[in-house]
Amino acid sequence: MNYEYILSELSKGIVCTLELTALVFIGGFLFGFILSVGRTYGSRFIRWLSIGYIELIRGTPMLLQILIIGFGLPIAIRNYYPDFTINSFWAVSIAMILNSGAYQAEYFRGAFNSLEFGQTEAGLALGMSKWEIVKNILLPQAIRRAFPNFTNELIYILKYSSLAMILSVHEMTYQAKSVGAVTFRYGEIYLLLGALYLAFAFALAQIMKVVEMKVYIPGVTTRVEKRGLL
Amino acid sequence: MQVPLSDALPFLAKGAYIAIVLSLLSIFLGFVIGIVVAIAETYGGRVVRYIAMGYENILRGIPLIAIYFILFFSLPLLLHIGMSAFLTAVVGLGIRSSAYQSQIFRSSIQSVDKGQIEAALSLGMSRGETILHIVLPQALRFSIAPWLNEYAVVLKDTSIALVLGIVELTEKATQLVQVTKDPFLWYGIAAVFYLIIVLTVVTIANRISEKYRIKGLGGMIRV
Amino acid sequence: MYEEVLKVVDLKKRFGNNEVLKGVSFSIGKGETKVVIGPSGAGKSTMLRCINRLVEPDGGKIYFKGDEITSKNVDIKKIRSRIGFVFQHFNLFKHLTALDNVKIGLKIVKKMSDKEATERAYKALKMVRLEDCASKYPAQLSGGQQQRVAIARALAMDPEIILFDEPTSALDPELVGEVLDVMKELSKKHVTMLVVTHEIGFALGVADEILFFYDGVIWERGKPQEIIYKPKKKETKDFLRRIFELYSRGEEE
Repeated sequence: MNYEYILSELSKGIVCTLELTALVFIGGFLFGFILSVGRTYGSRFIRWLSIGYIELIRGTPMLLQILIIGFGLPIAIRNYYPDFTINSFWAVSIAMILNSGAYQAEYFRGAFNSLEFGQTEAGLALGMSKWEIVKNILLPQAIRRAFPNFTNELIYILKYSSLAMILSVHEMTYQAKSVGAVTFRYGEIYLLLGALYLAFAFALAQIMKVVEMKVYIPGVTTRVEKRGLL
Repeated sequence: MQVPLSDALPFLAKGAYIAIVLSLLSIFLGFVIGIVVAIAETYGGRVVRYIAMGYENILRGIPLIAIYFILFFSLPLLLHIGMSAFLTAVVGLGIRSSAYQSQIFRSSIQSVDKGQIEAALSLGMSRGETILHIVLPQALRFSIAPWLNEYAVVLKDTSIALVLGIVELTEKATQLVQVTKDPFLWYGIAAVFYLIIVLTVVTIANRISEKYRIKGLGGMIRV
Repeated sequence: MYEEVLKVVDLKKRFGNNEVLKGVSFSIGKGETKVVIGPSGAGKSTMLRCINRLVEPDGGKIYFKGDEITSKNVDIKKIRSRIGFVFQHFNLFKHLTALDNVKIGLKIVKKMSDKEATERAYKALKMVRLEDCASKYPAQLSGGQQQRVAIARALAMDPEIILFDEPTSALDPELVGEVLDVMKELSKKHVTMLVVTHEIGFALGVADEILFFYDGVIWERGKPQEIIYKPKKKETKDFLRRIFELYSRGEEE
């Protein structure tokens, strides 16, 4: 039992998983914000496009989307450029960002919709432009209101990063499998894998909780509040 | 190599059939376990509640693939319990879904107006009778919309069963792509299949949920 | 010397089949305080919102300092920054402290430096006697305090006129007084004000003219003493009688 080997291989996997998770979460956040702005404030065509895109992503399995981009697309390209290869890590990242963005766009949208129109009215009455209102008034409140959704999304991405192993990305699950193949101790390894995911899910949830408390503003939370303080 | 639609469609249809069967078996397994866990967590004593909470947290923190591997490898190798690939797929997806379903049922139970319970007890009903005749019927009505959303999630995640060698729709489509080098056609058809079912289910769920709101559940389910 | 700040001519607005404003006309001069009273839901709020075009009128013209602001080519954001608006539900920005609420318009719309904006904001908060609450969030303030911060926010922009949309209607009775006191002070300092309210006492105290709004138009107008004690039209009399019954019923019991 070469514990050093197991440790080093798993560590590589852990790093890869965390990188993938962070990349996808941030990419999805930015993409989701842009998408939600297009969906709420765009022209009729842009809105139609955004809604169509979001429904398409939410209506199909993530694994299918990953396979389309990581497996299908290169095959299609190879019909014209036979030497084409892609880096699976980036292919999976892009597929997952495209996926996560659609969900995060809906969290933004829900949060924007939950804000009272009075906030926008007050901004307009002062003479602010629509974009100034979104940036300075609506966005800071929306992020805080949707915080639990973003936390869930982060954990979700952590778990579904495991799908990358199907395309031979050396993240945690892939590494566990390869260690199992070498040591033949599949049983213990997979239990360890489960425990690792649990540990990281817990850790990420705690980190998000700390962040949530740091940015907390009384009156701007997810809990439904009465209108003002009368 | 070209594969004519007349051959490919029945081929894919078998995969779709497996996906649907898998999704239905898993969601119902999840339903049965989910209700039990929800009741345990709401009405149970401290030990029972902690076990239920632990069950929920573990099954929600581990990816489905890892659950599959644990059931398919760790269980036989360490405890000598063996399951076929298909059974593993159903059980794995089922118990994962049960963890999310139990949360749906718990929230629904808590959404039942407390006044109802007080009225039932005042009439002389026992706790058990109150739960069975007053709380659960109303809670189940609240659960329908989120439960339909959960079904959509389960259907989509049947695709993950391909790591166990289950030849469901996504795997069939992938095989066709490997052979014909035409990803957009086959993956496109597979996507349409999932889309039709998911969009129908989710639309029905949204219609229903306009009638019955659950406090505090909004946004927790990633559909 | 009379200097016209706002002139509303034949303002019209309909929502679907419901014609809410049927031709409202009036004008306000610099330093004047005019109060609009009338039955609830008649369209008084809509009328105010048409003035800074939060709601687009369907007909009529509005002149602000001589310029027609209902025409197409107008930079409405610039106009809005010169018209103050105090909302019934305060609409303070919930994620900002009281001070930041007052500052934000100055920094973003008037493009002031942070230092200048902070100075102005403090001055405005002092005017409403809330400089001690500068670093509190709206959720930590009472309704009366929130509304006073909202007034400071409007004041800090140094507007040519301030519109008040039922500023005390959403407040608990014991908090109404502190807001009305601030408004009375502003009126005495010759801030140009257009106030929609039910507070007849306030109107009697500081209004230069009362406009009775009924059925989509200004039904009757005149000096406070005339309108309140010697109303000419039947509808005005009925409305005032209902208001006084409301206030005096408590005394009889």
